Amino acid sequence: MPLYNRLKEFRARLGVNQQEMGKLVGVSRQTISLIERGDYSPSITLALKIARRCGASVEEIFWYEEDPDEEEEE
Amino acid sequence: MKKRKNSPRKTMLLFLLFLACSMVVGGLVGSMISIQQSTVREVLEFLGRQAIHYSGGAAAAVTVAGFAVAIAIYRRGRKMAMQWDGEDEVYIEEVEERLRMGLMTISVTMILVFCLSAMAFSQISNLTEETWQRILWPLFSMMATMVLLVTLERKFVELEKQINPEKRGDTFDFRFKKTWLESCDEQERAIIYKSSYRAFQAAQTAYPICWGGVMILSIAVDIGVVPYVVIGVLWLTQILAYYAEASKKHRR
Repeated sequence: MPLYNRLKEFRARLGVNQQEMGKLVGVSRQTISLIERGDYSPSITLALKIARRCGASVEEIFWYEEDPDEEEEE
Repeated sequence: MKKRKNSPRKTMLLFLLFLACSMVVGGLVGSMISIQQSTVREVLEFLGRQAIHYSGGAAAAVTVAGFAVAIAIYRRGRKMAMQWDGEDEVYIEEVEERLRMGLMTISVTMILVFCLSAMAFSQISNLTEETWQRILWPLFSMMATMVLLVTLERKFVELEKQINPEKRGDTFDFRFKKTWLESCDEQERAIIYKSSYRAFQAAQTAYPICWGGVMILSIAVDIGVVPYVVIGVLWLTQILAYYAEASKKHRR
C-alpha cells in the first residue's frame, strides 16, 4: 500500500535541508530522503514528530491510496 | 494478473517430492562415491595436501589483494565524500554504497585469510625444519591482516561518521556493534534487521547442505567427528539465539 507525502514541500517551507530536518525529528538525513522518495514509510511516532515540526497535521503531509489490485481482490 | 495460491495439500506434496528427490540424489552420489571410494579418497587427499601446501602463500596473496582493493575503495569514497555538497542525495548514496562494498571486502578478506592460515597451521603436527618456515608466512599474514584491515575498517567507519554525524561507536570498543545500532534510527535498524534475517535464512540453508556434503564425503574419507561437531555448534547457536531473542521480544 503506497504511502505518499508532501514532506519535501513542507521542508522547503521550513527552509531546512534533509540533514537539518533529520536533526529536528531525530533521524538521519538518509531516512528523510527515503521518506520523501516514498521508499520508506515512517512509524506513527516519527510521522507525528514530522507533522509537529512542520506545523501541520499528519494527514496534510502523508496520505495513502489503495492499490487497484488489492481493491479487486476485496 | 492474480497470483495462483497453492493449496496446503499441493504445498505438502511438493515438499515431500523435494525431500524424496534430495534423498535419491544423496543416495546416488553416496553410492557413486562408495563404488569409486579409493579414487575419490586419493583425489580428496591430493587436493587436501595441495591446499595445505599452498594455503600459506594464498593467505599472503589474499591479504595483499584484499587490502589493495579496500584501500582503493576507501580513497575513492573519501574523495567523493569531500566533494559532496550536502544536498545531493543520489551522490551521497553512491558514496555510501562504495563504503559498504569496502567494508564487505574487508570482512571477506579477513575470513578467507583466517581460514587459509588455519589450513597452513594444520601441518604443525608434522614439524620439521622446512615446516617451520611454512608456518611463519601464514602467521605473518594473519597478524598483518588483522592489523591492516582492522585499521582500515576504522577509517571506513570514521568516514561514515563524518557523512552521518549522528552515528556513534569506536571500532576498537568491544561494544561497538551495540553502540552503533543504538545510534541508528528506525529506518536504518529496519535495514539491519531485514539483512540479518536474510543472513539467518541463508545460513539455515547452508547448514544442512554442509552437513549432507560432509556426510557424503565421509563415505570416502575418514573425517572424524570434528566437522559434525562444528556444524552442529554453529547451527544450534544460531537457532537458539534466534528463538531466545524472539521469546524475549514477545514477553516484553
